[in-house]
Amino acid sequence: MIRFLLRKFGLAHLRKESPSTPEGKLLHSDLEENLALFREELGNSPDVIIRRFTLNLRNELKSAVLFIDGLIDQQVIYDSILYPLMIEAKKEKWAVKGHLIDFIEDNLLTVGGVDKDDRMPGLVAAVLAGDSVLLVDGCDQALAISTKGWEKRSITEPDTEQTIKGPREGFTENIRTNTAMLRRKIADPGLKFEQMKIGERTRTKVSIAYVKGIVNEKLVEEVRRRLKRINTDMVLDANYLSEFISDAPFSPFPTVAFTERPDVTAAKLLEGRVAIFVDGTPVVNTAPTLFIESFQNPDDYNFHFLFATMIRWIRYLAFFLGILLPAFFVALTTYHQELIPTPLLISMAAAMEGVPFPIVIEVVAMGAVFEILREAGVRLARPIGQTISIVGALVIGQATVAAGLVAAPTVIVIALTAIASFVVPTQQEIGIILRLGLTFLAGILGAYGILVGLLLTLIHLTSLRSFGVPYLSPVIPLSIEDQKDVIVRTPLWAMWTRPRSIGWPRPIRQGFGQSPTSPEETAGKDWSRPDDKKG
Amino acid sequence: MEEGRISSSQLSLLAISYLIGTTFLLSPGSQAKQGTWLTILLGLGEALIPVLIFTTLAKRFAGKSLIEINDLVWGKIVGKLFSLVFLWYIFHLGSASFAIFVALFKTTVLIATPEVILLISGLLSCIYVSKKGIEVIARTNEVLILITVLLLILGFLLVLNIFNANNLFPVIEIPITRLLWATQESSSLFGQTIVFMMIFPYLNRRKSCTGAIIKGLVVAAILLMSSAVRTTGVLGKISESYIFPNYETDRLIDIGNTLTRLEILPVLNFLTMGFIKSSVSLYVTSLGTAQLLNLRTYRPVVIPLGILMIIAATQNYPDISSHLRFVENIHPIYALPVQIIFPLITLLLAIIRRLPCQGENQ
Repeated sequence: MIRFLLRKFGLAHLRKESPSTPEGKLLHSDLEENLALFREELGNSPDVIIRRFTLNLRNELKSAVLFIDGLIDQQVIYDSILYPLMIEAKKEKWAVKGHLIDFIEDNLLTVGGVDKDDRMPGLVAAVLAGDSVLLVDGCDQALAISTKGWEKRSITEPDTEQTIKGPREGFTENIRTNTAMLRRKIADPGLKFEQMKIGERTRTKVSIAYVKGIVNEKLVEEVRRRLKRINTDMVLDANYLSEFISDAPFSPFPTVAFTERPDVTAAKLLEGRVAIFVDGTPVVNTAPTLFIESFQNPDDYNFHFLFATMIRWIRYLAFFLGILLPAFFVALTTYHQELIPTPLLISMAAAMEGVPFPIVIEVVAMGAVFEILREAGVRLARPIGQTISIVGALVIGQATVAAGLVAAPTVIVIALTAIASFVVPTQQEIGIILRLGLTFLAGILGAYGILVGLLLTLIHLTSLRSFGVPYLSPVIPLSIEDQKDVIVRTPLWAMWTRPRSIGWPRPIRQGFGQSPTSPEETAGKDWSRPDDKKG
Repeated sequence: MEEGRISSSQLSLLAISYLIGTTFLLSPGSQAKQGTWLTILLGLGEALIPVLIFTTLAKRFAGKSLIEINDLVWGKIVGKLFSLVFLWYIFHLGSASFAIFVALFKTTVLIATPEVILLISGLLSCIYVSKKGIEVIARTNEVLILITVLLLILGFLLVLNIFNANNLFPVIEIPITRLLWATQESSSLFGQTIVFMMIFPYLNRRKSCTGAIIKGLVVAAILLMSSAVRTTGVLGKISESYIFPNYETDRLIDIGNTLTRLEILPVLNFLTMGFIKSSVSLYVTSLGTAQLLNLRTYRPVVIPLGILMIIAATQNYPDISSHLRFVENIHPIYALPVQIIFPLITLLLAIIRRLPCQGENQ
């Protein structure tokens, strides 16, 4: 259909052309001609540095190192390339055997990663990735030497996912740092990374991470398949990928999860999930994603389980308040006044006396004001942020009520909703959509409207899947052994299986019945894992 | 046509919802006064006859829906006639639950709202879920029935202070013929599970259908009986004079002057369960129509059938008293052909013709 329209309007050329073939120009044996080739490809950018020097082996040879300033580590270039080639090479009388470029690679360069190549595209890509290219006059091959090194942000705690107890580290923009942080969490040889490059122009490094032996192989295959079919110009953040690989692209509910925390990623991988690292962003995608994950916070597992359970209930309560409170308020005050206790009804009626608008308009307008304040507060620089809160609280909160534009109960409801909506950050975007929709439905049909809205949401949720896993599992379809981490957070020693819908290839996580007991009882107890016993 | 699969426990839950869908509000056998719970129990026993007949039929033709069975046993033309009657009956059940829903809202909660708005908003969710298929219906139902049962238990606890056990006696106050008629009334309600003849092919384990349906019947009967006992205990003999006795019972809830007038509870229960009943009816009617007409998929017929269903709801039942008359006096007989006679003669003919032949039934 879309193709037809494009053809019809002569816009066929707007369609994405297929990526160019890897065939490219070969190097010459003359140094100047080779450098001209590079200049032609890379242009006259000031950050492209060509360092010419004379290599003294048998005879004097003109040579050059080409790299991009800022992407390389100066120290490596000096210590491991220029110093050996310019100074060390002179000191001895070498007997060069074989090809000159192989000789240099084997005897002089003291860098870890060296690749030999004779085609321009590969070399240019290497230069753009931070390698240095060594060209020697008379050789039609060049060496791409790994000299990557650029400014990095240090590891800090992520702003969006803070914990009270627990590790204080978050991923950074560098994919290698991130994978290393994960390796430090999981020292298992089963932890595998599969790298690919996505983005025709950005050539972003993307790594699929999983723990072999726990993960379902079909899941990895599916993730690989979905990533491979992406054909786009740029991948600048994890969301650039997740919108391409999501199961339900039109659903407001996230079917691919995000995290910036290595501990969360490690826990998810060890439950049998797959993580997708993207270079240049601290955000990591994990899949499959369940609805329940939004309510599971890393702090749940860092605190005593009773407290964690209670906090989880608070989180559920806040989520439902966040989406339902304005709608209930509208429904109660507009249609079902009889359900409000009489004294409260009287005081509410007194407060709403003289307010010019219907309550549903009031609630939607105040909700919009809140969203404006929130968005302004998020984008603004910190010092100006304070102004926002003062203006918001005083002018909009106090003055509108005093002027009789908005009733005080409405302001209370919106304020409570606003606070509640921040408790479950991952479902915040959905919260806004649901809240608005339900408020309108409540304005039209009262409590019945809310119920219709919730029913539609429920139907939508039950029909969702994330990489083949039902989104609402383990509640629907019900799996009894997974209830350990839904309504209550059971003690860690009682969570002895992995989630049924995800990590079922090897379900046993730990030995059964490890609840701490007195030494006499523990004596002679078998602590080994059921898996190990089977061999 | 339908790729989804449901488990037998999901089928049981669906059966429960389907049975208690509308009967929360229009309790079957309420003409037996204090003996309502007894007629439900007797009706359950009687309903085992049709249930055993049609599940035997379903097991004989494993993996075939009723439409396909009719075609196989009776041939193309007569079979299609039988199927049409069956589909009409299910369609009628769906429209009846829409009609009760409108009657409830017009008389209690949203008095001034035009009924077409109520019907359309209800229909939209039914269409949405029917298009998603049986798996989604079954899963949605799992949540809804959990909420319903919790609310039922809550509702029972909340009326304990106004519950008067003396209201329950004498148990039988009506002539035995009336009692039998009331029994047939509730039995014809339980017989409505024949709708699942269209869903049996999508069971995980097809042999488990009898057990699943009977489990569903028993639980639904227990729920209905407890609700009947509750209503009689609270309202006494006047319960019969209300159209929606359950609704009136919850109106009387009064716990320390704080928890009062919780009539939203039965409305909520009815809405969720009635939604499942309408959705299953709509889904089965659409699926059956598609099979009848050899369509590739049932999805295109969902919306037109849904619209016809709400039109039928407004036309067939102009008011709630005509609906009550239908449920009490006509439905017990009206349901007989579809629930017992057709399945029975189909089964007998299948035995006589030695159907299904070897190989047809894997």
